[in-house]
Amino acid sequence: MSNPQTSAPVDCSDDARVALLLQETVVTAMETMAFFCTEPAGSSALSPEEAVRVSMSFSGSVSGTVELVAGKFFGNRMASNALGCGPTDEEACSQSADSIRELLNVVVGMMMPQLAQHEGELFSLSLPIEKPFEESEWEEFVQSATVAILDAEGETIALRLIRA
Amino acid sequence: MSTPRDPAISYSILIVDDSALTRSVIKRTINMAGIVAAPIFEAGDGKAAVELLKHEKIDLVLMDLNMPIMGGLEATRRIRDEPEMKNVNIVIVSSESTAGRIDQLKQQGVQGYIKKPFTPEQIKCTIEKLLGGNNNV
Repeated sequence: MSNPQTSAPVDCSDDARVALLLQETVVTAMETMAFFCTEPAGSSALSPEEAVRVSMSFSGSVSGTVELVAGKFFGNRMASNALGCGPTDEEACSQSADSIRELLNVVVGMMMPQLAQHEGELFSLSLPIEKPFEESEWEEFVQSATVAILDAEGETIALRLIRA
Repeated sequence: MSTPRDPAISYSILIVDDSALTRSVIKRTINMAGIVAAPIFEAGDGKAAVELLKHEKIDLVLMDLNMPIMGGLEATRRIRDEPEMKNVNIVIVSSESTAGRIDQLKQQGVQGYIKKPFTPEQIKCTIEKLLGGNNNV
């Protein structure tokens, strides 16, 4: 059981760096969890259909909330890729919301070593909370300074970090 | 060094994670790896896991940290405090991987740590190492 390598912490006040960290982290998480290929998408990307907003807070030397917006079918595909079944199979459909929550849980956990400002720091993490997301909220979401918008094999997802 | 696994012996494994998807993926990995694990128990939080351990003989617990009702760290403390279950193998499976968290887990006497997102190979190797297996897996 080895400790993670230490590197210079990410400056949480640097919006562009935070957005890049979100992007890099979610790409790695999706590739490992569900063999998903993702690439950056522009802010002109349309809101996902039947979208949900999942949020998760962290507190330590830096504190904030990470939000993820994704469509229901993206959740189906995450679950189906992870389970090795079809996206319309009952098992994938029933674990669609779970897969989006777990993706955010993994992303936030992966980011903490990068955000830690001193060695040995412990963060307190909330559980991922899911809320409905209206299409009318998309424009404001994707204009956030820390937003990362991605195309996951045709499914749009977006993440942002809101500092506390 | 792991000891060769006796094919006649099966091991009981408890997967503790609030994500049903993660439990399914780990279970599937165990089955596909050909690990003789029977039965495989599941729990959605630490409290349910501690209760289950009181009644079932478990060889290995694969435990998440961030869960509702009771998290993995508190569940590990309670397991280590109970004479009848304190020697069970516990491996943490979590995305929380700051140096501080890893040190905390070492102090709790967990046998291993698998960082999420994990690969099936990491799950397989950890189980084989702890429960015994041949060296070419």
